[in-house]
Amino acid sequence: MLKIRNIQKHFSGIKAVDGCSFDVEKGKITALIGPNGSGKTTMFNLICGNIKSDGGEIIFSTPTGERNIVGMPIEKISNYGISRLFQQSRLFKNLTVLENLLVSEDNEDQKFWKNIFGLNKFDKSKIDKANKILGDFEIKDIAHLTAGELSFGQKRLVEIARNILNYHTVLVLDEPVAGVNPKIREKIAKIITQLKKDGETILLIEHDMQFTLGISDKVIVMDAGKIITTGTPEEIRNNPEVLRIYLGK
Amino acid sequence: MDIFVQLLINGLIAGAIYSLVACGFSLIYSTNKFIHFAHGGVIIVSSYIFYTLFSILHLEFYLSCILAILLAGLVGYLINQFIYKPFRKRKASNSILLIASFGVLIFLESMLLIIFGANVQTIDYIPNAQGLSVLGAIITPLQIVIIISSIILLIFFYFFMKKTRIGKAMRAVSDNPDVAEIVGISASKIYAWTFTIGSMVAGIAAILISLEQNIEPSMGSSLMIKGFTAAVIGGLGSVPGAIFGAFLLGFAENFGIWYLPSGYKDAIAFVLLFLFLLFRPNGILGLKYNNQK
Repeated sequence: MLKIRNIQKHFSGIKAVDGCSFDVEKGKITALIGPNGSGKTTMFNLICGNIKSDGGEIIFSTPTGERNIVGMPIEKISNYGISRLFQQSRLFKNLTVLENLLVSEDNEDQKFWKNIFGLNKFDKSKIDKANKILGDFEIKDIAHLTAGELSFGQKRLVEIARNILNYHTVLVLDEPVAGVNPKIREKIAKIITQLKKDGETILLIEHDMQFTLGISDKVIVMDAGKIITTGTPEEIRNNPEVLRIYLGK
Repeated sequence: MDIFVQLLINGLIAGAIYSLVACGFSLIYSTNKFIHFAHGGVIIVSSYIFYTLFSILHLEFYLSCILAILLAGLVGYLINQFIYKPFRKRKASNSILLIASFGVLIFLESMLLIIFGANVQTIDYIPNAQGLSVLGAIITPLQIVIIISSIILLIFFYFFMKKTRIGKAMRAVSDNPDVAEIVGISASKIYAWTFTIGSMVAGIAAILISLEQNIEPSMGSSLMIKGFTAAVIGGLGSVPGAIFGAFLLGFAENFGIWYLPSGYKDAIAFVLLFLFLLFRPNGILGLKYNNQK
């Protein structure tokens, strides 16, 4: 689904990501863990096109075949099927919750003439789909509010809903439960568990080890820009190198 | 009473024209986040395009109008593609883009001076008809057309932004271009469309202005100052705010000259601009808009 090959990124001589290679398999949850500053978010930024790599390849299975997406514009990568959740809230603050979901639902917004002649309206099925996900997430009552009026937890739920509605074959989730209250955390955990049952392909960063190791199929451990080990959650739990990085043993 | 009604109507006419200028300008500002002063240049170029098509080439009136509007959109599109887009690619700041827009404005006005000369030009399509009397005030049929056209256009604009998908995409880019790209909306394409649509509105303004008054190459700057003042009063980046500001400016100018000599009309606009920049820089509707961010 997603093959990272010898990817590199340096910032003024500091190796943020240093020759990393790994695969994200279809229908599996792959977690990227490591201490702060280990290069996890930089890796996500490289995959999603937010920053350009200094070397290496990111091969992504698009509907039209495998493509190296390094250097592609962000919106093109998104339209190929990589949907990203950011660590910090990134909603359209002046659009309503429903509008936030609708603009993400497909990639037809920019087709000017089609839109101007009303050939491409948000039909009932699309609005129903957005309303259904709001219902599933128990946030239908806030559909009419602008995103700027929401609490942090509500924003997080709307962002995850937007991520799921945005056309994707891979979900890239950067700390989905960070900073939310226990009730919302539980709700998000349930959503991700359901996504796993539905066979979604997910690449995840999360500092909550209990949560991450409990849900992932494969765990990649990074430190100082390098991958130090890869394995199943059980193997990672018992890996002395991982314990050394996290606990300083 | 007669004077009051006359000034009210005059304010309405001026407000309708300013709102057309401010509306396109504000739309472009809302997504691009820099002051596109060359919008005034696009208006005056469109006036001369209309003048050339109708008065020189003698094309049919409605055909000239349609062509002038389409060509205005093309001028705006080309300015974005060949001037602003390369600057954006190089991560130029908004100040650089602002300076570039002044450059484009001066370039367009100078080109018109070279081609058409400094003399004023007149489009005699609608003869100075006998004005209609409304509550003792006089209004010409053309002035009624200007007010109605601007109101229809502004209602259309409201629904375009609120109800169409591209309108929503424009609002999304206006809100946060980075997030728009994350969800697959090309901010670059939306910039191009806002320039095209904003300039087409400028084209409509240009036709109505050139039917109402004489045109000359230097008109672009003064029109832009009025449009900019209206946008600042209403709240930069808010299209409804710009429309509201335009009518307020139109009324202020016309009621101002009830007490002051008519030569002070432009001074009233500048005083309003300074007052808003000093005491309410977010404008009347802009405060709420910005607070939500």
